[in-house]
Amino acid sequence: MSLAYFFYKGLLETGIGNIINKFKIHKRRDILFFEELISEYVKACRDNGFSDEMLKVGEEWGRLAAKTLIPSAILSRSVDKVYNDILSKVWKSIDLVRGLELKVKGDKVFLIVFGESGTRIIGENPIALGFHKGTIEAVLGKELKILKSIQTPEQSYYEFEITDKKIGEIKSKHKKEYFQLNKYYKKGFDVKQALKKRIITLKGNELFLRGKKLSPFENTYFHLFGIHSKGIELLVPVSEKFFEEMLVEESSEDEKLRFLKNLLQFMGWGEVKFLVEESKVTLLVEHPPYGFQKEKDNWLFLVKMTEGFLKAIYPKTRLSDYSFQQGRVTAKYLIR
Amino acid sequence: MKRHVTGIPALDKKIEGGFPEKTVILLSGNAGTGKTLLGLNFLLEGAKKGEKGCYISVNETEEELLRACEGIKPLRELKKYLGKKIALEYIPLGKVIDLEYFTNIFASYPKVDRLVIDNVNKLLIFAESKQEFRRRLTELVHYLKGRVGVSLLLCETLDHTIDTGNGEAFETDGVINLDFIEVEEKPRRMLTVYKMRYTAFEERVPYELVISKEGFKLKETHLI
Repeated sequence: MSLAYFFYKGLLETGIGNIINKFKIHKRRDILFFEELISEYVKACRDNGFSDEMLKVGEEWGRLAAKTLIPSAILSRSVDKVYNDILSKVWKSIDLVRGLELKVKGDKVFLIVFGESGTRIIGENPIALGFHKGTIEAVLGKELKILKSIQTPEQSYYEFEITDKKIGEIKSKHKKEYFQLNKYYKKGFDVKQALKKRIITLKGNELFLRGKKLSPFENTYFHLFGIHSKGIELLVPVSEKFFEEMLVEESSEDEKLRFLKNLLQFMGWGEVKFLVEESKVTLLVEHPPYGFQKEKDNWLFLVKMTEGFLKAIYPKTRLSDYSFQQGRVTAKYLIR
Repeated sequence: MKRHVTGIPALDKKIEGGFPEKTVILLSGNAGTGKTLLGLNFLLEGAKKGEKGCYISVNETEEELLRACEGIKPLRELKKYLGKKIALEYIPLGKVIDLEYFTNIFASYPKVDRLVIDNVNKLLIFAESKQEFRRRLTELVHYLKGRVGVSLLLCETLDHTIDTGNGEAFETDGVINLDFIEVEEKPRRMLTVYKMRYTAFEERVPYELVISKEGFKLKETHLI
């Protein structure tokens, strides 16, 4: 099943700054994100000694996604059936993996993943390792010990040992609360309109915006980047370089900023506005996406990524202040 | 083309010098956004240039309007022109009035260069259907174009809309909307030109409008 199928069968419900994924076992709100950008950020963290932070992001995301997205009837099956029969199909449909095989022998889990998202760009990828560890832990209800991890762009090989230690309770928002927080719809120039106008293009199963590939990601992922944020400053130069490459058609600062606003909305970050003053730009986001986790949502990733994007427009940009309040993200940037 | 300055120099600059002659402009916005003050300021600006203006209010009495002017230093000057260049007319809506009733009253006035109707949706409140509202609105706009230099129709709107959904924005020659945005829980007033026939302008860019004791200032601060 392709992304095109999701769009044309109405399985991705879109509004301004909002993308609801109605398929894949469990309805949820997604972000369309650039695999290249996220991979470059993970690589920068990995190369600067923050691999453990990335591992935690992957692990917590895997646990939370498994707990909230996989129905308990499926979770109660054996881990090889869950992985080989169900998750492999779901993940392949959104190009998260190109294939996988999982085997359990005694207290060992052996996993081979082909063409894994992120890893296929940067090779060694602590997030992917953590993600599989967390997902399998959630299915088994027990903690795993990493025995081996060999990651190459083509395929990854993982070996885990199942310990006797039970995993703690995975706390998540109540389904009703999650949908209440993410309940928001405003008709307008959304990702579907962008597809119709060929601003975003579909090539086979893949979505592209100005040559950059977009993939659906669940929001909790970005919340976790904000929590495990020791390497977050590295996101600024990575985002700046990435966005610079996208600014090919706009000439004035306002045109570039308008493109950024539309881009953030297409991606699903909420209803975005920029207030432009002489020496300051304020990012105002209403109805930002909420994750599955129980703890208060954190949009630091969005704030720092935007800092990088703004640097591509105003080179002297630096974040001066930010706040997350009542369904609203505000971030102030000095630009002169 | 003759243009009528708006009373806000920075706005005039953005719309080629002011509102075009023989047009009807919709000035819409939520409660408290400053429509009345802008309307009064528009008349005052004309009066200073020797133009005759009339403010027809179905909301506030003359006394209430003058009281509103007291809070803004430049608007205090309006009193000086009252009865000479500016007329403030209050039409209470205690009984059903139709458009003919209104046009008859208005026809009895001397010809005016600037007219403000505060507000159009209340003036047409007795229309019994959407169709009737639209028909009356069309008649009103047509009548005003032939008779007044520039008419400003104030319009109460809700939820960041530019009109009430009864065709006000379609029927008029220009649409200016006033709205608030909240930045860290502090509301900031924004002015957006949505439409201005016969004029080149930057479409749909909300600029910050500051209304203080000192008067009106349209800043370069804008929203994208």
